[in-house]
Amino acid sequence: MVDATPDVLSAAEEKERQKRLKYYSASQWTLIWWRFRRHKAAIVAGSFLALMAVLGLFAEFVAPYGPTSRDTKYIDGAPQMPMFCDQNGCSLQPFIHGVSTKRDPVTLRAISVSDPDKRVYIRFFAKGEATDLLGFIPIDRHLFGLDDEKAKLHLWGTDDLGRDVFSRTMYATRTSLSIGVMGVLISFVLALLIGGIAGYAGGMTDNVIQRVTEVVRVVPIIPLYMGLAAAMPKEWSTTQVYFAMTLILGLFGWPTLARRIRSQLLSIRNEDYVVAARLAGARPGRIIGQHMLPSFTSFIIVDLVISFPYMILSETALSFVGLGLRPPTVSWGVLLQQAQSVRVIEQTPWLFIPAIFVVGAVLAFTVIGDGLRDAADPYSEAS
Amino acid sequence: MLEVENLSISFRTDEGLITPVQGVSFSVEKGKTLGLVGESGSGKSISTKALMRLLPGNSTLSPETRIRYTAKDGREIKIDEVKPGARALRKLRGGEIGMIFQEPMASFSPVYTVGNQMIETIRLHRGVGKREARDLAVEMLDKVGISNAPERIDQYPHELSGGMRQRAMIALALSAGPALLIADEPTTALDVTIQAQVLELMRDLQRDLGMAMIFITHDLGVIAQIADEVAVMYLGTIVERGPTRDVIRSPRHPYTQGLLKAIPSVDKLHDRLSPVPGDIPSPSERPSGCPFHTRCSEALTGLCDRTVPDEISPAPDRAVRCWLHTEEGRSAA
Amino acid sequence: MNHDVLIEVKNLEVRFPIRKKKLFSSEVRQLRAVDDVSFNIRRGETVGLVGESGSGKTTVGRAILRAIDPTGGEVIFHANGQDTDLTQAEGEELRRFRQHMNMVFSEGSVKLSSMGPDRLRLFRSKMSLVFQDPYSSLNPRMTVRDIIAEPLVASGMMKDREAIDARVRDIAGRCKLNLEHLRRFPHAFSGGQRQRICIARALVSRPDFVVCDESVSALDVSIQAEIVNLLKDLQDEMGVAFLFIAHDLSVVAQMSHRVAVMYVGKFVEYAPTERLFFHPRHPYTHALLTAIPQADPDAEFDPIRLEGEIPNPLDAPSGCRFHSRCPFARERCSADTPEWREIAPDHHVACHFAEEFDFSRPQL
Repeated sequence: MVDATPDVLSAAEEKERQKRLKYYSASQWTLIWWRFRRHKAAIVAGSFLALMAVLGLFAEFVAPYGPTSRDTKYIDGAPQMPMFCDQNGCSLQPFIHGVSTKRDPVTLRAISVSDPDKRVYIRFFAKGEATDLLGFIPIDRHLFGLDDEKAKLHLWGTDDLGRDVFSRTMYATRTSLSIGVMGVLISFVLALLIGGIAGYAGGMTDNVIQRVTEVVRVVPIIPLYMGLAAAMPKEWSTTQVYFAMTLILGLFGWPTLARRIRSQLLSIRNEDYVVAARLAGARPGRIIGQHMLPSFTSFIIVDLVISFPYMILSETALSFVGLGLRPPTVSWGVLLQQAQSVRVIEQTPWLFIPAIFVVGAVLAFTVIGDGLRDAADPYSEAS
Repeated sequence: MLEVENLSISFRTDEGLITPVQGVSFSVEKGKTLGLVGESGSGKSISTKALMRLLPGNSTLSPETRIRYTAKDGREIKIDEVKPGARALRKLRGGEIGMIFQEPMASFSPVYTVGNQMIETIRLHRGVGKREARDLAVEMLDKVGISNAPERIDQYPHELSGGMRQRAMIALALSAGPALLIADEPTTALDVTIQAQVLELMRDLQRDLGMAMIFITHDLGVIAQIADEVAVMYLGTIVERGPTRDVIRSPRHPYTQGLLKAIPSVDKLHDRLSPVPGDIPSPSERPSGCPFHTRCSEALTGLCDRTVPDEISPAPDRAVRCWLHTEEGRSAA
Repeated sequence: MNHDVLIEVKNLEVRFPIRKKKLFSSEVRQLRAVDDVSFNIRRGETVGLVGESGSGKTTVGRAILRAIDPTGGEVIFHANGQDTDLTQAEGEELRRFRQHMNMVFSEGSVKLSSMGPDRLRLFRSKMSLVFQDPYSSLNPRMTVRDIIAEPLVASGMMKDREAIDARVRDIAGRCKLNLEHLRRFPHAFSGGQRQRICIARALVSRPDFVVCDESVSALDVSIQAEIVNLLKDLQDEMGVAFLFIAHDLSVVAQMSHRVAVMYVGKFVEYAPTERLFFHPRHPYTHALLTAIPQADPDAEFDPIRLEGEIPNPLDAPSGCRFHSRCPFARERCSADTPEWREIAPDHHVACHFAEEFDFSRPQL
């Protein structure tokens, strides 16, 4: 068996060598990213979440209408599917059929009927309602809209007040995701402080903090929220209620995270390289900052990511039962609150669409958390 | 009873495709001990794991690999062709080929008593009833020198000391009645006095049971005491093979010579130690030609760095992979 | 080698309370990991410390460095010359002594065993530890350069980045690590290379004393030889003293000027290397030596049979700890703890009947 001469490495071998060099100089984070990248499901979930985040962030642009604007001509209206072809032929530009309201002879409900001969074309970056993107950038164009400005396009139908479900869902995405993020942030800061002190100090301090954590954890959440919700003054503005909600969620979400942080710290404290740092004369501050924190960051990130779904679900659940955000604020929970009756299932099932978002967001976070957990183990070399 | 030819194993990893074992061939005879010696990265552990198809999912055996095992009943089993997960494999493991490891806790489940696990193994491989199995287990524990066997059998692994655990692990492996025992660094983690006891035990057991053994270690001293034949591995290939006494007394391969010289000895106290120069290349940066040429003081440029040497037999029973021992090598030197 | 004593260990004791919880009470038993150990280490010499599991050798090393706090006895660190015995100092007294700290470094001896944590940190640069496991003792998230620079940076010994870099490069070079290596992360290196990084880290602050805790045990025999040579070279160059803790007697013999043998928390013998290996006086030392398998198939491998297992330090035998397994045990051995005495110049033994034994082995 003859091998290639050693002086000239073939192109393939040179590539292998470069690859290995990159591997050796790769920091911990790079390694984690590379491993994460291989987790297909997590990448898909990540992209999905990113998309949701973008939709929520630019809700004013994506949604053709405001969250509270009503279309009195199209109440309880079914979703309008854009078409390319109908009985009158096809066109490149998608369109919908115009609608007019009639009264149903049997139920006496106002129903919208589409007129198959009237076409209203859909246009992208169309002019629509003037509004402020993110609250301060004035825009009047939206992602899509109708040629005929007086007509309305309801991709996902409307509710009993004629409000566009699609638009409301977009705004709701922003609210729900941001509450989730802020709630987790508050929890995390608290957990870091409390869990960190317990884990680093050990001994009696740790003992006391543990007991306090247990008490907070054991407090029954539903009655607590009910009480707090009842205590929230009716005069509070929606924004105030919003912040109060995130605060409450954060204040009661820290125990689980704190416990995780504490146990990580306790185990890292005894790692050889931490002892080595101590023996090198490092002050406690440096030991924590330089050696312990970076170590447990990769573990804690996983826990953090897993906390998001809990926050989102908590907010959704509370708003769903009426204890959380109230109209006119929209969140997924508020939207779903309207979908509570049997009538809805029978007659206006499109009001459930926000539920898909909730499920999607929770699933996405969970899958990403799984992927991160697999990727973050610093000593696993095998693929 | 075991014939291995051209064993080559590759793995897919973060670093790319690596081949930690290449072209390994050896054989084990009934009742004899083969010592596999090598430093870390030599592929000795992986080679034996391949024998029982215990390799992780990202590994592949090369198509030229041949592993032929003659079972207790005389059948010949082609281990390289058995599918991982097949029933035949399960019967093979334990019942025909047993394995013991460096870390005794690795063999034992901490939530079951030692006896429990041994009885399970015995019943699985010998098909006897619970009572009989228990008696056999006690007998086995006694045989490996664990005092108070009838009491110890109901203890949990963590209640035993390191030396006792290792003996219990040997007892566990033996209770399945294997004809071939693969011992992967079984005494490396033990204290030296306990190691002496365990080595003696293994020698006696082998003699009594007529078992064949593959003993993996990096300690040439242990090899000298326990192995009939030794195979020296470097970077996934066997560089030298032969009866232990011969190989140690007159090593042919430069690596074997280097290893022997590097061993500290109480009788050479004031001399500087002579390590083998250089570092072991990582398996992903395998040198071309002879894997050892990068560290060999006698390497012949143009030959050793270009072509992998074939295995030749300079004497009956001996095998060496080195150009220095061939016609071409001698003329080029 | 300077014959001044660098570290004096007197009656060192390290006890751990082990609480055994029962339903309504809890029993506390004392585990004497190190029980009344006395010895000294001279400037620039290597003292080997061997023993099997439960011997307490690791604990001795860590207790000297105050990685573990001793529960009894003294550890006195002599720095150039006279003794200024400083006892426990805290708060105000501490601040007063801080100004004299440099003076202390250069001309005093300090009792490490009872020093407060702040003062102790200042001594860290004078002594360090090389761990056994090269995989867990390096922070996987720091570059090799930062890891080696840690003792300089963490103790505030050096502040100038250029000076630190120069020092790091110097010691890394001596440990055969090049510039390219300094930029990489630990996961890129083999066990032997990582151990060299550990050694570089231990020596970067030019300490007087380094404890090598089973530093070569996890390495292959050839790499072991390399590291031992490296340590010996560094000792010649830098005059550092080593406490070399290991369970492999052959390696210890190569490294050490004097060797001590421990058994279940106590020293049993301490002598210059050749004396210990060829003329041991303690039955346990003799048993250890005969148990080493030689890489010589013709050499006689006839280990002395020691009955039973190594005792658990919690249930240490009475009197002489070794009496339960000693082939030469007599009645007195289970009753009286043998005295640690100097049986010959620089040769200490703890055995009632050491004078009667002659375990001399032929020297080749």
